[in-house]
Amino acid sequence: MTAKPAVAGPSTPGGEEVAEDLGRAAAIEAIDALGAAFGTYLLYPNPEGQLIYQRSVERLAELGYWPLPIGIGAGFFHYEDERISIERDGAERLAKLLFVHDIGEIRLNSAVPVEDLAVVFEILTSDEEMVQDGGGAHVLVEMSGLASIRLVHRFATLEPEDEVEPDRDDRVDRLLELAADPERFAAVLVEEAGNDPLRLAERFVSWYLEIYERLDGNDVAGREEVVRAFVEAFFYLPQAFQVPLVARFLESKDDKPCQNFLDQFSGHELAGVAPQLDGDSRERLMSYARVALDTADGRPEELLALLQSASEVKEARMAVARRVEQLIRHDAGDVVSGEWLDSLHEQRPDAREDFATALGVLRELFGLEHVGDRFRRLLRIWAGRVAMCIRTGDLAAANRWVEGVLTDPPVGPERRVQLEKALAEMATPKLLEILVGHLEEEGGPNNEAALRLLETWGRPVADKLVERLAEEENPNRRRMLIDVLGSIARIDPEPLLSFLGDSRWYVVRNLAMILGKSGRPEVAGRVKSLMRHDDHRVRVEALRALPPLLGDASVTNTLAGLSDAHPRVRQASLALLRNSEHPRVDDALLDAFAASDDAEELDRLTDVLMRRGSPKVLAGLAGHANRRVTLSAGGRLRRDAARRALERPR
Amino acid sequence: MSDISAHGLLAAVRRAVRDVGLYPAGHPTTVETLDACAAAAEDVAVGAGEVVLTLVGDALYLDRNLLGHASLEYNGLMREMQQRGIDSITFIVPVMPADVGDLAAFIAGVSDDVPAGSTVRLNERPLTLTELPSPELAGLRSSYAGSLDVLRAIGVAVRSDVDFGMGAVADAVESLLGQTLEQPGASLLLSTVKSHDEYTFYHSVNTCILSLAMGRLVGLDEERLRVLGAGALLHDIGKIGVPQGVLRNPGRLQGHDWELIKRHPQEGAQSILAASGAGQEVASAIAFEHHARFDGSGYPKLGHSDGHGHGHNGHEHKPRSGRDLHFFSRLVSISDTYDAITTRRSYRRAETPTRALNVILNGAATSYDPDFVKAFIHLMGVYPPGSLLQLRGGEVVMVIGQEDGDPHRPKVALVKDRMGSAIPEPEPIDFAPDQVVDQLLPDRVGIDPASLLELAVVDAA
Repeated sequence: MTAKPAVAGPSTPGGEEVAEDLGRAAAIEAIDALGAAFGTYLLYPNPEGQLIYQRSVERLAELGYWPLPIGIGAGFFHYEDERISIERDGAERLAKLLFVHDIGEIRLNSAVPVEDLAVVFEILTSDEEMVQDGGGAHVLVEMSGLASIRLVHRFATLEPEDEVEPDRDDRVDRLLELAADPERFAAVLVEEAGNDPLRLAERFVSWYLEIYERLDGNDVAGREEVVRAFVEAFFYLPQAFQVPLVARFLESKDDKPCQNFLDQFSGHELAGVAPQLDGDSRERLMSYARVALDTADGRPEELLALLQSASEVKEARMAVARRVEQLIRHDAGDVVSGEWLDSLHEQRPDAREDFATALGVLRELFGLEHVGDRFRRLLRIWAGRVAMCIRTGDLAAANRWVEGVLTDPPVGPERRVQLEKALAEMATPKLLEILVGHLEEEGGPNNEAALRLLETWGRPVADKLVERLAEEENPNRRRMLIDVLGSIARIDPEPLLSFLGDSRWYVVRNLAMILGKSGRPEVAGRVKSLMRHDDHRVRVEALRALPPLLGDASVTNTLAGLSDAHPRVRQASLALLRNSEHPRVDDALLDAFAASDDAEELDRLTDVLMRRGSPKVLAGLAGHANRRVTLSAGGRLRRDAARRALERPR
Repeated sequence: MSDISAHGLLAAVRRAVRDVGLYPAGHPTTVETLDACAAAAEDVAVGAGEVVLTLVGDALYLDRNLLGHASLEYNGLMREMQQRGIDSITFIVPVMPADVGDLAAFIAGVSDDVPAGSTVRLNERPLTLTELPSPELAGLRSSYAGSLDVLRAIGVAVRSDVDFGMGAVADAVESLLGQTLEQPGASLLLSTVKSHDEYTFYHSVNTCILSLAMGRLVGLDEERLRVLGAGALLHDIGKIGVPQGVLRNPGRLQGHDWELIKRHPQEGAQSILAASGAGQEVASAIAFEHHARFDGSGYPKLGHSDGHGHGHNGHEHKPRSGRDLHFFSRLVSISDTYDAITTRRSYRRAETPTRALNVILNGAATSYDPDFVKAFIHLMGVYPPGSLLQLRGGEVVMVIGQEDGDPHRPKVALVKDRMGSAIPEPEPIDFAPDQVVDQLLPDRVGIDPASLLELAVVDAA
């Protein structure tokens, strides 16, 4: 399918612009889809199984604009030389990776099947040396026989005039050639200036500025070379020539080229010249030194002090040696003693503190990184550390990474949501499977840690665990998962409540069990509503869930269960009422007895009633037992059941 | 044949490779570069008719002479040659510039035509290890080169936004640690190797060596030294993402560029935390804190909770400082400063080792932990290894170690005589510190301190 010509043929007025607009729109869509797919590919071991990946492939198939050439820059994409802004991390990572592999263009020829995309991603993320050995990513993709997608090497995308060549003219080259030998260069300069220091200063500076300005602004290496060449030559000039030269540079100390020249000098080198400068120049030097200090670019801190004090540079250099020697002698020259050594010995860090150190770094980074993509990168790093710990079975460490960030989060409230979101995305089925596996190892080293981790993870993994529970057939694991979810619900039941409307009865039943373990009375209303659920199994669990939530107040619901249409519900209700001391229970049980005409149920009721054994119960049963005449079959069943119960020894 | 005389040839080859990749054939610059390279080859081959440059493992040989220092200084060029399958290069006098051009184009990957049958020939005389003298410090150099390789690989990974593994870092540190424990004096001298092109990587290895030496002095056990070494090796890894235009700016940085540089501790810490494998915990702290100062100044501003100068709960911000900075960060910040000051960077000429010590000494209790300052000064002595000293009589000597570990009794070798002539094969001499009248920079003397590494070992033995 080739939609481009059909949309805008060359004969259509303005057709080319229309085609370009469409192409650009397609490129934007393709980049976003590729980015989403690539991000998923990096994150999941089975990307093809992820919805976002599948959707990305569909989006690429829906482009309908082929062939679509998308240019690659250093960390960005472009279409027809116009840069496309990137919204996704995955897209940015993909662009960078393509650039590193010297790919100048990615060309989509048709809808890209899942398999083709996987091949390209696999090649791009393979060991770079291996890819190079194979001839480069573009060659490997070509060799894979993919028709839908093609990578084009950067050289192949360059027009001849695009070849990068620093804009250096011959004069620059000749001068740099001459300056390669600074001693000779200095001698030439002196000769050309007719041995006149002032004239040399003027010529030196004008040459320097001319050459500096001739260089292409992007030719940083060239500029560095020029500055270095002139500075080195400076040191081969006789001192009488150096002083006016420094003075001349100081006159223009605020201009970038002159500033760069002066910046190259070390503190004591400037200090060596300082005493011979006139008043104005010395003032300029002091002002330069103050600014240099303020810009805090690593300039030796003593520069200013040096300028203010030193008069003889050689003497100053030697004073340093004497100072160091004194310091060493003060410690009696004994390297293995001294308070400083004892102090350092005491402070040696214990390996057990290493983890806390890294966690501290991560927390501070969270506090410092505010720009969106940088913050997201940190989230990825955090998630990566947690995932790695889980995969390697160090669940205690995984716990500490999670708790260390979530407890007293190092970010403001607006960022906390993102922390939780990242945590949720981190909970891949594979990781959860590992954790659930550890839950089974009761008494094992990671059992407790797995439980704690899932509890800490809490809300973000709740829905995934509910799904996991729905599929779990192993009763032991089911019990563990319900316990974990119960713990999560204890902290925050909200994310679980949405499952109460699930169409799968077993999911709702699980939820009823979990909420029962939450100990949160505010969810009792939602649980009560389950007493009207179509499926009796849900009603049974709802019935069981209410007493832990409401205590005695649940008795009304339990008693209501006695009249449920389904015997399992009534049975459950009965079991719950067995030990209840609520004053209404005896009456309710007797009412249920009077209403039942099921022999088995009547036996269960009498069993409970006799256990309770209150005078009211005994009198009630006796009323049934003493009936001489009963007209209905049910009545006879009740009389016989009551008699059997009362005859049993108590 | 010494390193010093081979230096010119290797520098010329490196320049030729660069220019051939940069300019079209026949460009005046290329022509001049190739002429210079051919001349340099003839200079070293003088009297012999030919000279063979051999690459074996991590070492370069000129004929049968090991170029110990050049093997490290030109490690990048060496790796490029190895990637192109070059084992040896034979230069036959008279060396033709066009043949040098073919060689440079081949190394640069501009051409796949292997020079053959000309005055520059590849792989005609490959020598094997058994044919070459066994270099005494091969292990130390190999550890250094291996660490550079690891950093280069990490650089590629970080630039392509791919997480790297800590395993390779641990291996590199293990190797460096073994060597530095075995040959502490030589390793300090080796840490004076510099490279302007790969400043960050060489600086990182040097900082690692210096940090390991200091860690050893303060009594760390080997396990802790490994942790320290990994952090020191990776401390500047955050600079990898900084554009070359900023890193190579020939002057002080301001505005956005300076902000970019100030981000490198954060970037480094994040890259390390994202790395796979064990051992990144403390390394991340070292990368994060190595520019934090003892008095709470420096960057980034530590102790923040929300980056706005106050805690996210509205509490007033209290900067983290002093001993709240990690022990290893306080240590590495000193090694880092020392190596940086003694190296030529794009924005500053190099300083002498003693000047660097003075900067550190002046920063005691403000920039640096005063206890570590003392430790470092004791480690390096009055004149640190690699110092070039001018004596009263005009001679120049280089410090190659300490007599019996005494920090104020440096061991020296004479490198220039009273007339200013370089000594072809420098040898250790007796020396009294009061003879010193000045300290010089390697650039001015024309000798790289690490080129005399073997002397440190011979003397120690």
